[in-house]
Amino acid sequence: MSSLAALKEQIKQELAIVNAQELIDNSSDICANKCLFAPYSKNNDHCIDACLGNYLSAWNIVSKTYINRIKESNK
Amino acid sequence: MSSIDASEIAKLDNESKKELLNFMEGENSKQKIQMSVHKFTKICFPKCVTNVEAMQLSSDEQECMANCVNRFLDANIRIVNGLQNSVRQ
Repeated sequence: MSSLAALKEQIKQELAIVNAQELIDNSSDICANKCLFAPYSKNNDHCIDACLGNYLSAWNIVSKTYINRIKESNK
Repeated sequence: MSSIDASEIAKLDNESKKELLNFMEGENSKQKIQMSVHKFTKICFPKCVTNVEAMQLSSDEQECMANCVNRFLDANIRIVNGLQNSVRQ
């Protein structure tokens, strides 16, 4: 692989890590908040799993809506 | 997060440097959009989704997510215009 292609690949991978980290941080914050309650004596795995699935669906709706908005404004 | 080696870039010929710069500008704009999507989801999800335990988002919740993004952007445009007007006065 040429060093140009390698650099591009490296940049793409680092951005993918940033995006995964952002998703993990935000969904952990929100879902722990909505699913776990004092005195935190037990887990609520079912709620965490469902919340994560819903968070990802919501993320996709936001992405679609925002990109449509950007396209509209470029017309 | 800065594991890119400057010496790797220095080794590139001018044509490749130019191409890398274009590539980075493109990735940069895409990443800005991604970060906004993260931000809007973080803001709108707690406002719109009442039952996080449901198997999927209700149609009301889906609509709320889209509306929330659009209203946030409307508000942003209005604030930019408002500030421009107040500067002119």
